Amino acid sequence: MLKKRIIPVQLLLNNRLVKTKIFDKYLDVGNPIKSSKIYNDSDADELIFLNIERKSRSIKPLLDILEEVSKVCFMPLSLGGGIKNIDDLKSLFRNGADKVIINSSVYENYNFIKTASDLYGKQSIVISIDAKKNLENKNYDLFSECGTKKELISLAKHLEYCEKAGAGEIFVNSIDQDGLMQGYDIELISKVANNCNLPIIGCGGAGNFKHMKDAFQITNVNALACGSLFNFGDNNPIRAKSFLQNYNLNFKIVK
Amino acid sequence: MALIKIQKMIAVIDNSYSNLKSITNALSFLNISHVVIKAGDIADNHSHLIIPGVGNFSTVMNDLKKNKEDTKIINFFKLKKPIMGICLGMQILSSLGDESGPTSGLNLIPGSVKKMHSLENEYLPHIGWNSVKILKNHPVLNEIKNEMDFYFVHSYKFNLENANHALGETFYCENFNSIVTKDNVIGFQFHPEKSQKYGLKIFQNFCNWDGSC
Repeated sequence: MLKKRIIPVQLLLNNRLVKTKIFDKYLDVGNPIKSSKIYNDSDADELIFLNIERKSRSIKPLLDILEEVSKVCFMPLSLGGGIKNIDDLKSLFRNGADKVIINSSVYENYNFIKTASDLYGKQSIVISIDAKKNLENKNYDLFSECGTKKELISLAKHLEYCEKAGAGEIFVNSIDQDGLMQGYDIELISKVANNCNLPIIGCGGAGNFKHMKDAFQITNVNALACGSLFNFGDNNPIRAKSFLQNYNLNFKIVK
Repeated sequence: MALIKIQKMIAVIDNSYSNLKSITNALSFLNISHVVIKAGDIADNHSHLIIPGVGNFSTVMNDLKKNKEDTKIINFFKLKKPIMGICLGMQILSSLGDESGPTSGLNLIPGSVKKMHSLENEYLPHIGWNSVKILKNHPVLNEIKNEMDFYFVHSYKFNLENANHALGETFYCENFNSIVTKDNVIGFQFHPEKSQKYGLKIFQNFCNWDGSC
């Protein structure tokens, strides 16, 4: 049986690990290489690195971290933030990335997904979607460029185009819940799950293990990602899983 | 009389489509001497062969055949030296592949490679952590417990001609062979280099294996 996954998300800014709130204020929470080693020892299922440097968008910070992390972490590594073209993908895969996470460049050109997926296989192409609830029309607005640019396409249409173009997985992040530790945006995750037939990683808002249980039980999300929950306090993937296993949720066993 | 110590040198085949870095990183982490080479450059001093693989069966096989590199691998097999295939590297050990048209494989383990059957609500590729039921003991599986999870990414499966060549089995939509072996060859459908502790143990066991069962 395929297992549910728990994925620590690490945000990178100036070679440091940071944690944002509502895509805005941030705190320095440490050294990303040291934290990755700890996640490797605490049975994380995968690691996600997102470069959130807004001033100069390039994949350089991702390549720097990949060089070090791939020597000590023997699990799938997914990286994104600043990916613009196939050359970027080439350097990331060549340096040990298993999956790449693409967001902003997709809105301008869905064909980018197709080219990437044909070259590297759809399993390695993750599309990241940053969404924020529109309080007037109750729909979700989508944002690119680290949450700074509002896109006009609807969530359902965007998902349809991404799936058709060959996306392998959807990483959906709630801007409203980011860093608040008040629970996942269950409505958003369900909407994404109901509108596409791809594995889904939900992100944004986990503050305790019960939040993860709710999201796993109410939606059919395949993986949950979290930052703050593991960044602050004495929590790690092992403890999360031992709590969640009491609720008939299955995770990988490696001991 | 002085003892002659045979140096181990693991050759990792570069078929230009693979994520070799994670395999070489795993070998470096374990302090195992290794080189990355084209199959055409297999030499007498190489003690073990690792065939990684991401990509497409026919592309990889046709590349090997074009440069007659397939015979280099087959000759290595005839010397009874250990060979390990990973993912597509395991699939090309078979007699026949089905991806992008029928293509003959290295034919080291009789069988054919077919697309997996996916059910409704189950997608291909099969990707993620899934457990492996170990069917038999094998030196390369030393200290690997039954029903542990390993990391999979694939859409095709290896159908064996002889069920005795199955070492491990996994379920996703259907049961399929996740570890296969014959003589001095062993193949893994999952990625040991991405499977944390037990994945590293498999590399260590393989490099200590002399190819006999």
